[in-house]
Amino acid sequence: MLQVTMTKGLPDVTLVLEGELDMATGDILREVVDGLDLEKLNSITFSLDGLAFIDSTGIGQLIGYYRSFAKHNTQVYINNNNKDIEEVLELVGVREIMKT
Amino acid sequence: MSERPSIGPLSFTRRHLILLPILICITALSLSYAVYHRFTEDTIEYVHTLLLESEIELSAGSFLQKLTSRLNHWTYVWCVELLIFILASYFISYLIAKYSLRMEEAVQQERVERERLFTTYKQVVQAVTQGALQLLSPEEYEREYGQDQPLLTLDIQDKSDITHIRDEVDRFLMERLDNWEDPLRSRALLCLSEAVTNVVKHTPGGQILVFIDSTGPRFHVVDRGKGLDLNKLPYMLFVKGFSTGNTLGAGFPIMMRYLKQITVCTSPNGTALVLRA
Repeated sequence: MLQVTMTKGLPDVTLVLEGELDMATGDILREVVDGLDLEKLNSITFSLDGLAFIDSTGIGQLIGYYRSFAKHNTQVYINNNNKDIEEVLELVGVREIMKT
Repeated sequence: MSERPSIGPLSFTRRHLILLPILICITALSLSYAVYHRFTEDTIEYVHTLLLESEIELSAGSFLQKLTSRLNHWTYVWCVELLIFILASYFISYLIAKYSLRMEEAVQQERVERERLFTTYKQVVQAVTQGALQLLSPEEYEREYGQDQPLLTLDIQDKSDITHIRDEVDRFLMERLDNWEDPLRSRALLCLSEAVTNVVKHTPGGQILVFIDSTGPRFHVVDRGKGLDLNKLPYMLFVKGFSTGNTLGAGFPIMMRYLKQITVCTSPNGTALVLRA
């Protein structure tokens, strides 16, 4: 299961993710992100410290946001201090394109 | 490569022998029917003419003689036409046989080419990955794992199964393996999740089978998809994030990094991944 909490609102949004982010739970995050007003959004930070699990599909979803928000000049950041999650992010190549 | 068999006009093939009598029967029947029609119409008309003549001067003997001569004429026509049709049938059956043989040769050549490609990939992949990735043909897979009885079998149908399978396998191995703890546990579950996600994304469904070897857990993720495209294998191995419907997806680098060995067996009937954690 995935829990998404917005700890900081517009224009610089921070979303704290807890639980598991994969194909099965991606819709929960999508719902929250789709509810944001893109006109007022300046940047979005995904905090992954509380994540217990993420796979390549979950990472793919975050990369998807990075690419789509770039068209609106919205910055996307990934905030993570979880060693296991960081290793997977690096393996898939996220750190080569997305900032911390 | 096998030598192409010569096909001459007199070289009978199996197909000739099957097709020829069928074609002869069909053409002979249609011919007989056509000739019979023409013969009856002609004979009726001829007899009618003779009967009109007989009113004047025709004797019974002369009448029969003229009728017999007419019948002989029709027998001759029938024989000639039958001969022409037999020759035509033979020629048609010969053309069909030649075409089928060529098609069969093309299929055979394609199969030989695929086998050659498979053997080459198998050797290259094994060498490049130092045995971490193995390719097996369906026959080899059956020989190696066909007799194994899984300890746990779970169906893969939709995305809700991804979390369910991860939890079920985790619980199952927790009870049976003393060393089922991090980092082995989290890495194995991540790789399993990647393989199951691929099944959900790209195939109509499948199953996961769980075994325990002396070296650790072994998962078989079997799907009913169209199989992997071996031509894309180099991209899967060397291009980060490369993913299409018939590759192992973006999770492949993760699986290669965290698993002891991945065995791939793919055919047009589906793919089986053997993951050793």
